[in-house]
Amino acid sequence: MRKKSQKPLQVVPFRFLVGEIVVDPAEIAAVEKMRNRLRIKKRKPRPNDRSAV
Amino acid sequence: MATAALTPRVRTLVICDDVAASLTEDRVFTLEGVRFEFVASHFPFRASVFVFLALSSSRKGIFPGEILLVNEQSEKVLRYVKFVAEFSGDNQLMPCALDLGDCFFPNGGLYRLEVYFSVQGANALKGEHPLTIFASEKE
Repeated sequence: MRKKSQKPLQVVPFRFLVGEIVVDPAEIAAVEKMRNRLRIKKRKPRPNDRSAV
Repeated sequence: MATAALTPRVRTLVICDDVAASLTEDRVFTLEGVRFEFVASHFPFRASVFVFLALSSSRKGIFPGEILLVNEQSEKVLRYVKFVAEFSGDNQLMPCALDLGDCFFPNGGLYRLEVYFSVQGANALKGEHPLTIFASEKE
């Protein structure tokens, strides 16, 4: 017989579906701002970038 | 250390119609309707979009992530989904699926999916994938 302290084995389902759709316009505006900031940083010419001349 | 180095790496990004987990095997998935484009008969065009990601991280931790669907023409964010990637150990590979829901595409052309991860308040772009919407020729 199973002892009281022994818990039955549990199959933990692997959580693969994640995410939450954001609909708040303020949050979307904030993420657009973050994106623009990163894109500007990405486009900044490097010292040896001749295309900027 | 730079944010990009501390956050998970996007090893695979697949756009599809649906993702189903195997009933018999753990961490095995079926991707339905893997695509690079949609053909739209009218605009705005509505489509249900799923994104399957294979992420890896050299260090364990919990990393908040964001996926954006961006209209390349207007640079507007059409869909914004937040998620959390949790790595219980170092050097793990983690599959995850994101349901972007019904997305409305206002016009044909190029769209882009962008995956961002943040750590210590700083964000880094870790993955990009184009998605094209073609207008159907038959009227």
